[in-house]
Amino acid sequence: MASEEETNLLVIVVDVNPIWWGQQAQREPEFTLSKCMDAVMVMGNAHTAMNRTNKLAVIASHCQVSHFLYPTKSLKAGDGGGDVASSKDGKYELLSVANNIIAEEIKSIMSKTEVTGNSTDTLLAGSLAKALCYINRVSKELEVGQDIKSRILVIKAADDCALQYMNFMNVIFAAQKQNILIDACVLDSDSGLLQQACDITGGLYLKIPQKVALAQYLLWVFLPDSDQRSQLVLPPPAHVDYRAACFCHRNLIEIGYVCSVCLSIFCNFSPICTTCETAFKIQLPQIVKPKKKKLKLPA
Amino acid sequence: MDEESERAKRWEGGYERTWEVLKEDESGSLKATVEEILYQSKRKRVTESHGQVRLGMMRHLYVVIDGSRSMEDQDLKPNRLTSTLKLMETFVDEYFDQNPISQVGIIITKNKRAEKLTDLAGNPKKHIAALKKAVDTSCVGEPSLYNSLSLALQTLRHMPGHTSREVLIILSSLTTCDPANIYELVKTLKSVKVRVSVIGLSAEVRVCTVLTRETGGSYHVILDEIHFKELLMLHVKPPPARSSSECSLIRMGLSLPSVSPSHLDSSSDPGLSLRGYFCPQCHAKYTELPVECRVCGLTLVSAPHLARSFHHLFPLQDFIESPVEELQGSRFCQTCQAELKEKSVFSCPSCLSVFCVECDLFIHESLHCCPCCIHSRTAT
Repeated sequence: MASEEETNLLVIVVDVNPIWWGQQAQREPEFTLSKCMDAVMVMGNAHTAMNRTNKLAVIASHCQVSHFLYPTKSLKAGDGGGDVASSKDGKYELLSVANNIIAEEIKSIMSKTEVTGNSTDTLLAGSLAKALCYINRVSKELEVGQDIKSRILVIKAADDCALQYMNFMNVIFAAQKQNILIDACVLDSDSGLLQQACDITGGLYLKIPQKVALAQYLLWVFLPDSDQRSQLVLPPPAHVDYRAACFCHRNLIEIGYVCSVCLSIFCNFSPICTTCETAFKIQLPQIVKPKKKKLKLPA
Repeated sequence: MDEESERAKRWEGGYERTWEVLKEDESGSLKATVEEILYQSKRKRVTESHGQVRLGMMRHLYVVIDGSRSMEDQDLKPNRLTSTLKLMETFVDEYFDQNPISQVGIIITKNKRAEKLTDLAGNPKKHIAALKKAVDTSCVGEPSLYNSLSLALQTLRHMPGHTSREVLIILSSLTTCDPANIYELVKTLKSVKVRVSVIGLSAEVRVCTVLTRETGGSYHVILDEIHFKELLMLHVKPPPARSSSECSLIRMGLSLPSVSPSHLDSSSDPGLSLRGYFCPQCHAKYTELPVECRVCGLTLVSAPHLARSFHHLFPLQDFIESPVEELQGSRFCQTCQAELKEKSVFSCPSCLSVFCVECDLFIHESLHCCPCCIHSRTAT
């Protein structure tokens, strides 16, 4: 049972890659971005309703920007919007305000942001970094005596971008140091980076077999917080492939050579490191001089 | 007589009028000065980076802890030994966090002798268990610098050339009892390229000054417990590598996880466990990484271990500080959405996005990458 002073902060990072969602709308018209946002809102409402002190934040991760859907900067200015505060169906005010804001913001992002250049991958590492900074700020602003437990839930649609590897790993290690769990709910194809993130931080990784039932999976698997998870039977941890790719051919290798200066991995021995251009000392085998034996001449 | 250092001692300087730091404003309150002091202390935590200097990533560090009678002194609560051991546990954790492929060994010196508490190993659990047990040891006799350094030298001498060989001594006594001339040992240490640093708990001792100056290490004396922790944490970051150290390709195995139940016991509490890793060369099984395979001698690591050290190699630039009044547009931090209330803001030199003080600290200490730069450039 959580103590009275403990707040639980859940940050939901939603992948809103317009290219993937556009293709998805043609593949499966029953499950579109609006259905996904509905499921996210249900999850957010459920989390806020679990405990009076629970907090929520939602970030949308686009191709070139990440945007906070909730809470927004205008909330801080004091005016929460007089018209949205009065809910028509008697719902708890906080929930209806949150839903309206999320709906408004997602509409403005999807219509205003353009996809320029050839970057079509979702920049998940950037959104996770922003989430970590937000969590850091909220923990610093707490009063003395209050505890906070945070976790991040990532809903991933498009494929991994291999160029983000280093930033992703930095984010994962920062999260592990701050004891922040990263859970992943993957809609389409398995993501090696997220599997590593969940393994290192201790979160849950799940690839959903049926996208239409997203809300169901979110509520069953990802709603309980870390204390309660030990009591439940949850999906088993995925087999994470920790093999690294060599820098020369991008093959996955088991035994490799690591440069002591820049830590780049190679599959074969080479005299010069291509990343940092250091020349290596090659250990020559020691030449053993044969001992001269004095031959005894037969008398 | 060898050269004395040019640095003047503190008692040789003039009087410092420390009361002049506090300034009152018109109404007589000290609030502005206090806030300024707090702000400066926050900024002090962001230490300067070395720049484009080659760092020694694979480190072999021996920590020598003084176990002599002076460690029973109660100026550090509850006594110096307990306080030191507690801080050492934090140090070991941080050390393996920042240098995952390095090794640490602990030596304790008392009664004119030195003995190894733990051997050089890459697994933090053994060291922490040994440190916890060492709290009960009695502090007797005098320390011996010579014996502890020669004990450390015995192992460090055989370490491969591309690693950095370091010794960190925590010395509280003002005396040392040596069987032979320590200056000869200093010459040997210098020739074997071992870097010795000392943290003094009592006062500055000339032998330590010479030792650290000759071998290229640092010597500090603590002021209080907080200062002690800061000095210890200074040694966590990888030091700049010597120009003479060799660079080589090290053969390592990136091992795969296995779920079969039988394992070699490598942790302090023996038992079988399900999760583990096996060596790709000889298929021996181990419970934790990084480890050196006892059967075939291959060093086993996993890719995240190597990735942990990358931020040392590609350090994040310092952000530019500018006063908040010059900021046009909305007064919000771009990452945490907080209103900018501090008197200065920080902007990243490459992507020109604006951050608040807390985000700047967090980014430089833990995150090591600018969240907005990730968006503007696609390649790492």
